[in-house]
Amino acid sequence: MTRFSFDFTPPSDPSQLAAFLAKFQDFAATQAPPELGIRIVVGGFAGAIALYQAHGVFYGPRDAFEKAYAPLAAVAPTPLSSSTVVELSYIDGVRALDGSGELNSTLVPLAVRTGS
Amino acid sequence: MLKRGSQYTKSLLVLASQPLSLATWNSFTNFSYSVPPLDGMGWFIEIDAFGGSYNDKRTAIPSLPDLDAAFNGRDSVLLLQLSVPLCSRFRTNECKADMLFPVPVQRTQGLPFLVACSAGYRTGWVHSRGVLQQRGKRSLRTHATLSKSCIPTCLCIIVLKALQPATHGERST
Repeated sequence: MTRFSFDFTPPSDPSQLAAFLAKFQDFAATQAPPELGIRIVVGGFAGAIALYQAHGVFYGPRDAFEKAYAPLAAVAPTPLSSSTVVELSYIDGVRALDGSGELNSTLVPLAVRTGS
Repeated sequence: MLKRGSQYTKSLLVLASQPLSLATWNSFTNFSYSVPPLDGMGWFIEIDAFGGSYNDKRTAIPSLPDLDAAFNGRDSVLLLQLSVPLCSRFRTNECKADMLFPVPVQRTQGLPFLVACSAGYRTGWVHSRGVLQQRGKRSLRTHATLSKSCIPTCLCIIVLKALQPATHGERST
């Protein structure tokens, strides 16, 4: 599994972001392979767009991810401000997706098992 | 520990057969870029690729007809989740769950967006000293008042207005 996270500098022109989102929609409709789970996040704070990122997982190796993601990368309106692409085992990928780093495989609710 | 606060989330599904037009996306981003400061509160929209096809073959989610499973949004291509964490960030030790935007807060900015929405507020909350508090505990004189019931309604209306050109192609969840 390949875990990826890209942060972009928010474009100053709303129409640039609109054009990218329209292309993302086209990408999702016909170009995104079934192995790809991808989310675009746009966020605002203090009256400005403060967050613009793409992240998700690809159920396959890194080189296959890069090939699958290439059509979308080609239409990003602004350069990356940071990026993370890592290959993980399936279990480590699930842990990374969860965000907490913990994975409960005991069939007992984690809160009960840890007493928290 | 989150002492007080709440979060509003709304989800919209965009049908694959009726994708949002470029004009709608423009309307949506124009709206997004014009949201005024929310006095310490951020907002975000998550847009998930959802279903669709690949190499002219439907992917797993839309491969089943709508009526063959409990979830009837299988013919969608995008899932939009709109969210506003209604929590002050001033007392960070009380609001860790909502620490989404590491941007300094300007308390003087007020809540014009929410105030504009709160014309019909009923028993609400006051945003005072950076903490959502029940009315009556502090003076309302110089503080914006917001309503728990108003914000979701107003945000939803505004977002839906932004998306209006293709409303027929969306499904609300």
